[in-house]
Amino acid sequence: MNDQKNCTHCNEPIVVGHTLPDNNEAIFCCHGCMNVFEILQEKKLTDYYKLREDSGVKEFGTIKSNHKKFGYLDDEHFQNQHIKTTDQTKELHFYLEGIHCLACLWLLEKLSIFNQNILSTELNMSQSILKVIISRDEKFSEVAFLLNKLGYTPHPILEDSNLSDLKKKEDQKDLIRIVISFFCAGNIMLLAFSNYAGTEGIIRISFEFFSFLLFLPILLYSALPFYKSAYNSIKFKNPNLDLPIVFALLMGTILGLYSLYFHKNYIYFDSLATLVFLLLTSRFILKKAQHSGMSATEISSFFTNLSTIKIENGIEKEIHSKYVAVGDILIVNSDETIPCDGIVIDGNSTLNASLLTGETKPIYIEKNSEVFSGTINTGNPIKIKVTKDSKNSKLGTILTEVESGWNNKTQISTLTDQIAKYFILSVFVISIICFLYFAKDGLWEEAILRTLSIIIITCPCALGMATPLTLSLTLSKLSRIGIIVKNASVIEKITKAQNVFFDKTGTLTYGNLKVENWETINTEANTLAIIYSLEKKSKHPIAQSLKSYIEYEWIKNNSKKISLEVRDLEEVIGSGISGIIGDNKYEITSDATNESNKTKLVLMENSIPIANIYLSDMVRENAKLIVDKIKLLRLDPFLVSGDADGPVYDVGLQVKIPRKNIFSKHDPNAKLNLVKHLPQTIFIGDGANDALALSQSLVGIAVHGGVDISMRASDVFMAKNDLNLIIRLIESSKESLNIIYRNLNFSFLFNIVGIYFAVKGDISPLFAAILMPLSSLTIVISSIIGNRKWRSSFKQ
Amino acid sequence: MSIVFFTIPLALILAIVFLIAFIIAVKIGQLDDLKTPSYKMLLEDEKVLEKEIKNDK
Repeated sequence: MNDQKNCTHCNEPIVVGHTLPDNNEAIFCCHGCMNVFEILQEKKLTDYYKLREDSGVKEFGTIKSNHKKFGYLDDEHFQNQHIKTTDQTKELHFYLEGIHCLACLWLLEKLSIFNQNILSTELNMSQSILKVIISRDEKFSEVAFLLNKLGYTPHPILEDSNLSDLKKKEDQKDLIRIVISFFCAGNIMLLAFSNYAGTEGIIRISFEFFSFLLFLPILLYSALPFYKSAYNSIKFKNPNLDLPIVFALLMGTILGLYSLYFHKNYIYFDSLATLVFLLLTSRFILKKAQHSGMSATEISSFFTNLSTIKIENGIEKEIHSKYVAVGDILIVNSDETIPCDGIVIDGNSTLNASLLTGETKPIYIEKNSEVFSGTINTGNPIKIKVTKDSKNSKLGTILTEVESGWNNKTQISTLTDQIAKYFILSVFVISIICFLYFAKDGLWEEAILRTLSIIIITCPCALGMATPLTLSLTLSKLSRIGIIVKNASVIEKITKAQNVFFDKTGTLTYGNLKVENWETINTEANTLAIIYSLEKKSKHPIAQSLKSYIEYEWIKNNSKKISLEVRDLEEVIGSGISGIIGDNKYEITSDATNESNKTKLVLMENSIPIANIYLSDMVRENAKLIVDKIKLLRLDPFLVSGDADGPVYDVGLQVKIPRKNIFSKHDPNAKLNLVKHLPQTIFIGDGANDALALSQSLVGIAVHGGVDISMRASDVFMAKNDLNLIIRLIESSKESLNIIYRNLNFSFLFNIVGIYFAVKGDISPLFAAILMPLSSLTIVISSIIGNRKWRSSFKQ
Repeated sequence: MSIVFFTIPLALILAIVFLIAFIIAVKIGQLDDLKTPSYKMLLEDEKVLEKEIKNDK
């Protein structure tokens, strides 16, 4: 039995459905998806869906219906600072949320169909960056509006163009280093191979000389990053893997030159060249797999992109919140985020402060109430007078703290770093013992040769190569299922965690009020239709959730939409709505006497209650399952929230988190303290009130909620709204760490064998040439196979 | 066997030509975005198809 319907646009399972009046086949999970479908239909671009089906991508993510304003893009201050202009054109780059496949590319490169003034668009799919060039007279706000309408959330990139160029140059340099090392290593291998096969005389010597020449570019150019890192490791007295690698490189060169001159057999150019090539490649792959760039400059421009309406000499003007000064008068319309702290000077409304406090209940505000940045105006338009600009506002200070916290985050030394230390130490001890052993008998040449052989043979390939390779395979697999990891060290840290903290609002719950129970009292009237008609035009959040519930009920029962005519409709902010339908007066009021954690609404017919409706911030369906799994993984689940005792304990006990692990009424700083006292902690949260805790916990995971402050503060970002991803993340981290351990064991085995023969003096170049790549190869294969296994277990 | 003194440098020079070609490709940004062009290739086909259909009419 499967009556689960999926959204036509985004393919997500539908909780509350919507349909178009003229098309009954298409069903949508939200207005956002429906709007996109409508636009595409209108422009005859529905091929989009066909293309998407062909591409085989299954998950697209829902459209977040956000009412962002982009007027600030046209503000002069902004234009001068961030938009490249020529005589005829203007250029701006957008980071787009919601890029998934070929169909997006197809659609976005057709933007000129929507607007003639868009001259060209170019999408970089690997970075989700869209380059837009428009004619000089067109406004970028229009472009952004269009993109938003199509379901992509555009974030203009305010990044310094010099910086991004620099990054690109560095990537290019890395590639060139790799390709040069590949070229040289390949050719040296050819020459070395003939020598192993037994060339003699002048040919052998000239081949050796050629391989030395080919080794020089590697030594002098490709290996530069190793020297730098090794130098730093000496400077900061923190030995890392590059130290033995550089040591082996230099020793190999010296030994090779010595052998060339005295016609000895200690020529390792081929092995060393291959080693450099493989190390560079594996590091490059890891760098590509890490979304480390996301944590730095690019993100910093995201959250602060808020547009506001400022009143200047009686004229409304849309500006970027960055340019708001103390004393300015701003208009905040409904559904807009308040950009700066201030005082209400006109109007009354309700605020949603859940981002800041974690409380889901709306807050009522009127003239002279204080409002804080980051809260959302859910009611009427209000006018506020700014008391603190965006930088010094409540949210701004959190942002600054997060930034400094992020920079000061104590780096836990990773497993490989620690092993590297012991490794280096033991290799040195063995070589010194070996040297002394032969030197005491006066066999100086023998002593030096054998010692150098040890150092070269034990060069830590597995550590240097297999670990980044395993990690990057894991990271890219995670990102394919929607988990974006900013730093590879997270994988290791997750396996060390002992506690998991969940935020309540928006993490374990849906984050908005939903109808939980609908009871009618002795009535034949169609309460659904009555309430739908009354609330049809209301913008209040409760009205929205009522409407979506009713629409879904209708779709579920295959009944038609019923909209009744309402006279004398009256809405009183903060108390309710009333109107006359037919001969009866209907009234919806919220029940103030209600003491439970739910919001209770009463529908009255001529002052007699005919229906009770209970709304609450519902716990996600799989939340309990997730908590159970967390327990199975031997992690201790915690719940922490800024909300009041009632709802927090209600949710916590529902998902079976032990009572002692539930913390309510915790403001951002209290959450931070909690995390600081329990250092081995994974923190999962979404709002700005979690940002401090996210940035200071061992691993901070931001769940789906758009690109905002919490994403900036976290180590891991979930691009999909699914708690199950957390389990997958933990499991796959454990799995990949197991692979790393296995590789380490392999490599130790190889090294012990190598050292044994080096000490005995049996190492011939042929032996080294076989042993060194063989150990690397085994380990690379082991990493890849290990990851395969993990992937197949994933599908089940 | 002394022919190797000619063929090996020759082989190297040939290889260096390709190496330089690759480096140039990197420098002018051909390898900056590897994902999008692979998709674009598929789209181009479709455009051609559209045109063909139009021409047939």
